[in-house]
Amino acid sequence: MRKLKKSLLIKLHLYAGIFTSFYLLAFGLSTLILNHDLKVEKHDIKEKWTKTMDFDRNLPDRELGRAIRDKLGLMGWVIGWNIERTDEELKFTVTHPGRDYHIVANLDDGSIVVSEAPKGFIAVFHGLHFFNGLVPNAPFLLRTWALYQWLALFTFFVSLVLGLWLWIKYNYHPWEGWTFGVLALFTFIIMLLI
Amino acid sequence: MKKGTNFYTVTRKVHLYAALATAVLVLMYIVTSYMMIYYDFFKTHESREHTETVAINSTNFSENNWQKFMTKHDISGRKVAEYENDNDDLVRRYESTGEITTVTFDGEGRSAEIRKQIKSAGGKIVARHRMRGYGGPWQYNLYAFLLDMTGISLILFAITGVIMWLKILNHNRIAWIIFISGLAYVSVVIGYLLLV
Repeated sequence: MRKLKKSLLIKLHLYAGIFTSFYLLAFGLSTLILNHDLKVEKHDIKEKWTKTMDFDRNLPDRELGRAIRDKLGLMGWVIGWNIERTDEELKFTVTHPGRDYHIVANLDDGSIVVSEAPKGFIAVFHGLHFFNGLVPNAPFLLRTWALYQWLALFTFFVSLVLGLWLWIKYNYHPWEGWTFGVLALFTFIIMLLI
Repeated sequence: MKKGTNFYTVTRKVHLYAALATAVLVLMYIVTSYMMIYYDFFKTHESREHTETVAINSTNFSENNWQKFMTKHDISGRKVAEYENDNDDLVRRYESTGEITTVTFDGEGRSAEIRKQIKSAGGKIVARHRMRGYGGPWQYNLYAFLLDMTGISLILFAITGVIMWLKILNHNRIAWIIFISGLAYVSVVIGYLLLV
């Protein structure tokens, strides 16, 4: 009975761990990137294309940016703080964790120039830390990331608690308990001091 | 056989110690992640402001005098920014998990405006999730070091966990289904973000 219980707990710990392992990799890498303020995003323009379309020039800048984004079928947020408008054109950026679209819309003839800057794999992997899937114009699959994130956190918690339980119940050594107990207390105190 | 056993033992120990060494921070991350997801409920974005203007003799503080100024006016945290605003006034910003303090010295060096943004209880807890980077007083550097350890530990958890699974339950169908579905899902999400 005891062996059966142990085996079941190990399996549960394992299943929960496997489910959350990819999220942990992204979270771990991202923690290091943030802590050292590493610049991992690439900004080089890799592709440039044009399109002509009708749009309502009387809309406020950001609304017009969103309207153009939607007509172009692009996924991402319109960044509010770098919109530039003159009598002739509207310049703005649409962004998501994997790509920036720098857009110049000619307000006279309706021509749009889109310059694409992919951010690169590491930036995307790092971006999963903050990503909740709720990007404008994102497909359903991407929107499910919010659910995956919620479940990954929950299963990580379950995995952690089960792992600690298995250690205490079946593999506990007093020196480990003391060493890591003191370290845990120390960490907690530092958390209170900042 | 012995070599294999040793490798497994070492992997298991690395997995365990990585978890034990960072369990407190990891638990904090999990709890605060949920608090950020439900930020309306926990009111993590709320804060109250307090502003006062105090007389000063000069903006040219020595380090010692500046520390006294901070202590006298209860300015906590570490300096996160120093710049001149549009009026050419010197601005210093300090941030701790509890509050953000912005000190603006008037151009003539006669007064300083101290504006404090005091975070809600939820905001103070979540601020520990957002606090990062080296610099400032010793406790902030130590915290940054612990964050580095946590980042490395999380990567080690995942890698050693998968290695142990392959060793212990390699033929377990459920584990393979979870692993392959997770890999496929995350790969599709990353691929989509990379390509679209």
